[in-house]
Amino acid sequence: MTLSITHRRTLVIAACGYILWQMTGQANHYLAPARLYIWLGGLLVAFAGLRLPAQEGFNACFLIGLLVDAGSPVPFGTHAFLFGIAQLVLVRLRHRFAADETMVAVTVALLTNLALLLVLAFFRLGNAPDASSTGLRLLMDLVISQSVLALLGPWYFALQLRALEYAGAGLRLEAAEPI
Amino acid sequence: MPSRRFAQSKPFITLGLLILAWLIVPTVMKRFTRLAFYELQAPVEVAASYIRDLQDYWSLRTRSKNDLIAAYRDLGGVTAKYAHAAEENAALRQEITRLETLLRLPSFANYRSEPARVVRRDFSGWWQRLVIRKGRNAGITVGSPVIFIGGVVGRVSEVHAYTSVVDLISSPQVRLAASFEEDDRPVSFQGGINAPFTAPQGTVEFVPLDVFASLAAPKTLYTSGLGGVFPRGLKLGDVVQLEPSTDGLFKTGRVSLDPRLNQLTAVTVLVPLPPP
Repeated sequence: MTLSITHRRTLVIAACGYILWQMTGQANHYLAPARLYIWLGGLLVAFAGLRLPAQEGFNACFLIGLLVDAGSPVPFGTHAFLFGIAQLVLVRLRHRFAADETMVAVTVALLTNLALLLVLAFFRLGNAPDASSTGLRLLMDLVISQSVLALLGPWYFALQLRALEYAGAGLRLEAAEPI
Repeated sequence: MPSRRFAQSKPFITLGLLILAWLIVPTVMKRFTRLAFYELQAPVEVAASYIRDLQDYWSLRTRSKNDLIAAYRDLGGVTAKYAHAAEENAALRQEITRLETLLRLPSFANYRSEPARVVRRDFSGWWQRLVIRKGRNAGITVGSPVIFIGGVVGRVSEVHAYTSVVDLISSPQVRLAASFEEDDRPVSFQGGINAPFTAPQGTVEFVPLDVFASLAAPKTLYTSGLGGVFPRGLKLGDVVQLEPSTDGLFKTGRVSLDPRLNQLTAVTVLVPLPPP
């Protein structure tokens, strides 16, 4: 039994996302004594939003979101739908810039990460006991997350491209299409 | 033109329908899916923690024999101290049982200690949690208190097949009844948002006006035993600041928690035993 290219792409991108999420989890384990936290949701979505066909990208992002939701104390589906929405917005906008360029992709990932973090913060701000210390903590987490994303971004995009090629589902033959 | 516009917005319509379907799907289905996704990932996290243990083992192997002998000597003293404490503990337990029988008092809730290694620390701005390497396989139940050498760690919030999730007392979601040393009046403790590069902190509320504490003269806060989750007398932290609350009826303050909470590698779960 062989999987179709569509399914292979979805699974490969979801697997790459899962690897990145686990790596972030391990980094957070070691950063915990300093009370710092890395969150790279924007990077998980960026490649699928910029390079993959809309349906494949959405499936991959939704799957990654469900994996993230399973280990987070948030209503199940929160990350899945946020990632899905972010991917659809990126698909809608990607014809306006050079989505193939790594620097553009990293910039888009940074902006997506910022937007997703702000949306998540908006949802959870009501539960915070002290707004001033919450703001400081969020700012620090945002700064470190964006710095790590800028460093890891090029490697992660290359990983996804190569993984797709190894799985026989490369993107060379298809150009990113607007919807 | 309208058909093209529809084609452009088709993915968003699909997403809207998906969200609608998600809201309609029964909670049982969502819970099952969540558990399935969690258990799918659990072996990866546990394997990572075993690899970490292996790294620690090999880094310890690089130590010299002199270090090992010195550690063995120190450990000998500690073991002797604990052996004496264990004997004393057994004698006191016998005395408590004798008095309970004599005075026909209801017995204290009993707990079984279940030591567990930490798989992962997850300290975000919104929650502070630990994943530990024991779950239903060790009989751990939701709500079980978790302790370490410095006092209370938190309570078990999720139990899975081989892992459990512990909410730390520094987490804003954790709220419990506490009391001061030699003062039985209950106060309310809650975890807080912990700023970067600081020791973990919490807040205390509903403190009587005649209680005073400051950084120079801190007051130790213990679990009160009320609420039935935590046994009485476990250390929570030191109250280092107390100020009158806005209504003037009570005081509120800041609790400094044990800094070792930030780097726990092993904890003990107190599993409640069924009454005899």
